[in-house]
Amino acid sequence: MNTTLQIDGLDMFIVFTLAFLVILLLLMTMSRQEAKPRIVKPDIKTALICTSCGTKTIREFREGDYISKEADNEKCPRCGGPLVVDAIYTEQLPTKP
Amino acid sequence: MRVMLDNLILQLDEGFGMFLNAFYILLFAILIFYGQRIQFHLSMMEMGGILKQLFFMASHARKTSLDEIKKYSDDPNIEEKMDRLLNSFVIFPESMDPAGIVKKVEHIMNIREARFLEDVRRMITKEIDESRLWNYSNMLEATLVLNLIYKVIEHYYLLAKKTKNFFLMAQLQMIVPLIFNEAKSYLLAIEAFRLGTPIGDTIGPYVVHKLLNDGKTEVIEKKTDYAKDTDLYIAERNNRRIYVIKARGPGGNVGKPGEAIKKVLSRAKKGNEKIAGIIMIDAALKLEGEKTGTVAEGVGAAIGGIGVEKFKIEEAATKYSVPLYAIIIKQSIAEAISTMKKEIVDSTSEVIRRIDRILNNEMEEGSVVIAGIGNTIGVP
Repeated sequence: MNTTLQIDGLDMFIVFTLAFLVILLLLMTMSRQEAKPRIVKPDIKTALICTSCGTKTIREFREGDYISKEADNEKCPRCGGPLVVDAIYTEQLPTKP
Repeated sequence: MRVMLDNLILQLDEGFGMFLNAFYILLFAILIFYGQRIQFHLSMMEMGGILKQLFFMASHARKTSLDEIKKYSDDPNIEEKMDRLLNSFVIFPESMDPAGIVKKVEHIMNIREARFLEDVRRMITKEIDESRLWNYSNMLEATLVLNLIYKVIEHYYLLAKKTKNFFLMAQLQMIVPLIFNEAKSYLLAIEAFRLGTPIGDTIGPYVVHKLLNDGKTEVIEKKTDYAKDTDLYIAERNNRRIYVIKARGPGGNVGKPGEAIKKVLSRAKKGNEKIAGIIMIDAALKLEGEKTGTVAEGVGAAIGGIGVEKFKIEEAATKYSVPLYAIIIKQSIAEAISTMKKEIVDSTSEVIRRIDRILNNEMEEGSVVIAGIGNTIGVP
């Protein structure tokens, strides 16, 4: 009697494991079906350089910025000289758009 | 009482054991006869989900582009015009007789580029600067690609579903993760083109722009539109005459560097001027294990695209026996078409150092052509 009970216990374990795996597979497939891609805006920086003293400053990108563009209404924080756009870049790409 | 209970449990166990045995046999039979069909349905569910995501991406791209263009347009038929543009196509020339195919491809692509830009221009009703128009043209091209990816994947999905073809669905399932990554890259590209920021592919024009403005180069003359949408700078660097070629910016444009290089070599030959070499700087796709922004050197024409410009450069260099040097900056496809990463910007000084080393130590006497290849968006 004890032996029969032990075998049934194993059978139950196998049935539950199989059922669990099937449910897991279905849930994984369904979750992939439902997932909508997230649209992540990249964090873009503009590096400015002073044409008089060469000091570099970094600020958020503003629409209309392009390389070598003279920055309007912005002066070098060190010498007050004119600033031009030196580089426009993003530190890292959004990994899950 | 205890004995009766034990007997009852034993009977129940035996009954349950028989049920389990029958269940296993049934499961085995189901898996043998219907295993592939079950797998087909699971694959179909997964592909359906990915297709939904691709549809979302294509719709988002279309909406972003439409909203952006509406800022410069009062046209009531703008959506119709945009959809016509997004469904446009190119028929490539017949290649059964490949002689002269490059000229035919060039002709078709020139028509396509001009028509695409004119179609974008026709959508705009308010005043707009040329650079922004170019950027919008690039943005719509990326939207068109996303739309095309969605339509092609949907086609194969529906075909596999209609014919219940498991192998077609399995092939789709294998290739889709790669295509999905490419689609994500195009979604990022749309944002970069909308804002007009330099992208990874801009590194070629960015390097030559820096080279011309680092204080060690004396620009003698600038010839705007030396070739179509391509500028030529005649300059002196390290006591050597250099001809610097790049697409006209800051709008998103790749220009015709092949045509410009061909023209420079031809004119130098006529004027008995020796061209010691051509240095081409371009972005190149990295292997998965390589670091973004790694600089590498080699020989040959470093230029991508459909092949027309590459053909022209190779033909001209061979005709006039001019060595071709290539410097590439490695990056992934996503990095190449989205806003430039800092690692790529930081590689600029290394590229300029290598250009100087080649100019000073590795080239014979004579002038040198330096071409910054790629989309010049955000770089004048």
